[in-house]
Amino acid sequence: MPELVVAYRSVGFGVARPYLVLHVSGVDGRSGLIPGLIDSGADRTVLPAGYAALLGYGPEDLEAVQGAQVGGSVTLRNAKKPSRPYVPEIPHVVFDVRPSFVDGCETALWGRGDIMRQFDVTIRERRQQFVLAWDE
Amino acid sequence: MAVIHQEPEVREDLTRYAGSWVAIRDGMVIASALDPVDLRNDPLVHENDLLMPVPSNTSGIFIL
Repeated sequence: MPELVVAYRSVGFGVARPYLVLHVSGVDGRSGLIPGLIDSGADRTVLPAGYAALLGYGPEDLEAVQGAQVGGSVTLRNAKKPSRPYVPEIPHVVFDVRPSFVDGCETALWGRGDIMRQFDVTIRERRQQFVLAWDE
Repeated sequence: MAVIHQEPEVREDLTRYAGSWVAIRDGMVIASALDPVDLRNDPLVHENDLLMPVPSNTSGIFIL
């Protein structure tokens, strides 16, 4: 099974964390790079609300539901249509993600329901690395 | 064979951009705006630049 070892990185806040940058194509065909934290505690991918417009989602493409976070309940706007991300170093592995957009969220979280169904993810905290493994 | 991820880090301290969106190229900020669409429409910003919000508090412990 092929693997990609990713070093923990800082994205300008001083502390190295398990950030993964994905190239994401939105529902309007536009695309861009989004850095997010690998988050095994997130059932699905969560994005700051501002990414909805960048990925081409309008109000009709989103469904409001209640969710729970560490600080209490939160309103999620779940995408009805998928975006298509891939890891830049693995461009042939393209998959679907239906993000939940959250007002007030300031960090993208790559959750279990999409990213971690595509990749086996191993956290190596002592080495400040994580590993992505996938089926060819 | 394992490969170390080569994506460049953000090398610039983003603290002064707290609460804004920034466009990153080669590890450095090339534009910022309060609105992400305004940022993407900035002529300085290219499609493959990394766009991200800068948290309002970047110094604390993250519990997500």
